[in-house]
Amino acid sequence: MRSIVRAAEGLATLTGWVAGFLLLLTTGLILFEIALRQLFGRSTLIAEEYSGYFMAGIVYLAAGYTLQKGEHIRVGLLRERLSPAWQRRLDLIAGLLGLVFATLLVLALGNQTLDALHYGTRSFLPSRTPLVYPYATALAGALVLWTGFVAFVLRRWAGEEG
Amino acid sequence: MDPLVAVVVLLAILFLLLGLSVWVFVSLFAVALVSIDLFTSTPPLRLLGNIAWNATDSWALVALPLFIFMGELLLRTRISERMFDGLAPWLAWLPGRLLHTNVVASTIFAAVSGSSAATAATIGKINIPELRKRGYDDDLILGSLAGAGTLGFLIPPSLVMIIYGVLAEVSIGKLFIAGVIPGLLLAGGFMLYLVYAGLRWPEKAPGGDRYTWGDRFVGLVNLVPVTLLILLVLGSIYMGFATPTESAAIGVLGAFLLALAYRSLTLESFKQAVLGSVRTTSMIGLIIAGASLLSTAMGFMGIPTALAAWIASLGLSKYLLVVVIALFYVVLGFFLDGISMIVITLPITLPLVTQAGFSPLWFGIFLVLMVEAAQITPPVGFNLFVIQGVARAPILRVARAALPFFVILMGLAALITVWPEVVLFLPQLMRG
Repeated sequence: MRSIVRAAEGLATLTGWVAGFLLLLTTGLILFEIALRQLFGRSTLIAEEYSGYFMAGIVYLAAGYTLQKGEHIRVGLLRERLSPAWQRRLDLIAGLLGLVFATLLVLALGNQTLDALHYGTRSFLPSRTPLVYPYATALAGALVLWTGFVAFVLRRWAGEEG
Repeated sequence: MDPLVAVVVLLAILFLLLGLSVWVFVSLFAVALVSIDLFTSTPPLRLLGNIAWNATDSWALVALPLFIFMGELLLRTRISERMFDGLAPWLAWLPGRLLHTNVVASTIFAAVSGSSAATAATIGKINIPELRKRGYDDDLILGSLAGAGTLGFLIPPSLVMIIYGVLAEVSIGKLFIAGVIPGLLLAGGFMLYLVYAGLRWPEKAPGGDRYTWGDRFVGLVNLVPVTLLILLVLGSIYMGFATPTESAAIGVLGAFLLALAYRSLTLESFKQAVLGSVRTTSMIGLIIAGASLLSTAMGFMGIPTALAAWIASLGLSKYLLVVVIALFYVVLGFFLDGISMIVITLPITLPLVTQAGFSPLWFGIFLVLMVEAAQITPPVGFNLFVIQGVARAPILRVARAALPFFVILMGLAALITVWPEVVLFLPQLMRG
């Protein structure tokens, strides 16, 4: 069980880093677009579109990492007033619910990615980017979030407190 | 099911989940998926996939991680130290003396920061120890900081306005400019209260600091970097040079250069800034996606229309409606953070106020004030958490100290309700 938890946490940290890279890429792309427009009156034609993809990428790729760091918001009013044992039980319920949601999210984004692959869906913008790539990025993030919830549930199951 | 009964049931389930400390984003998605499955003929998984993607793949929303990143970088500079040194010589003569540095520094910092918590953290880091060292009253220090920190959301740029703008389809540029006059009025209100407190209880704001005109002009030099950053970020939007999202990228560059100039940025602190930014972005992004799905589910069920018709049938005056909505938000603000509060309630409250004759632009600013109030009301108030951490003071004490500032906030909400022009005047000057 330890190794499953460790692997899930390593994966979440890795995709957190990839999300960080996307943030830097977004900043660079937008600055480049502004410079190109102001200096040469031209456009990359992809800055808005790709920044949107990167934004979605950041949200999903960092989701598991954010869960691992305990930074997804929870209302702690009840939880904080409970004994550690009851906190663990409450966490277990919350974690299982999170796991159910993450499973549905993986299925939903998985279907969307497969559809884009099957039908060769492309963006309507000039880049005509095959949408399977950005969708697959979000799907990868959802999968890591799923493993994050598995790790969360396993840790509480094993008696660790949050 | 009658849409009005459905909304009560859905909200009850949502608050039950939130009460059980299920993550806000999971609770939103769960309630939305159950509603879609039970009350509509739409396949829930297809809708989940569409909205999970479309709610986050947004150019306007890109401003969010960038302004967060800029804030993370600024937190690691010596900008707040410089501001205290720059402002103190100019404010020490006022009754209330250096307590005013809390308000003025927060107001200035708010013009480069999109977040209330970041404003309170950045200013508090330097101001609390400096003011304590000089023997100022702790309640006034913490209360004024909690109150003034909320300006981070009202004075542009603002994360809450970006989220509201995206969800309510209101121009973010107009929202930003609409926050300026209310923001300055709020800062003025806070300063007036500090003047009153300084006159009423002079011992709480002791003198001692004497400054010459030379000190004042040297002080101005300390304000140059932050002024340049404000000009860079807001100037780029309103000179027509950049969109709000682009101005955020310019702000990141400016903050990065400032951090380099202050020699306060290490590779490690840069890494922490990047990773901290993506965590906050993911947290907010998933809440927005969950709220978008819930909002769509409610739309399919006809809830906003039914609610608007029900409110209309009550025959409330528009002012009474705003009072009811304000009370609703104040109560909600005790338990929810501001961003969750907005995204959960918007599908219900926006149609109500627009039907009553208020503009969505005005409501955006009104909501920001409600979020600000939520930031300083216990037991869940992010500014209280931040100040509790920085000042090492009990949260309820910080909340009690912030009470006069909460009252001033509510006063401003009443003012903009009676005179919406306070909000709408500047946006009306903008073209487009």
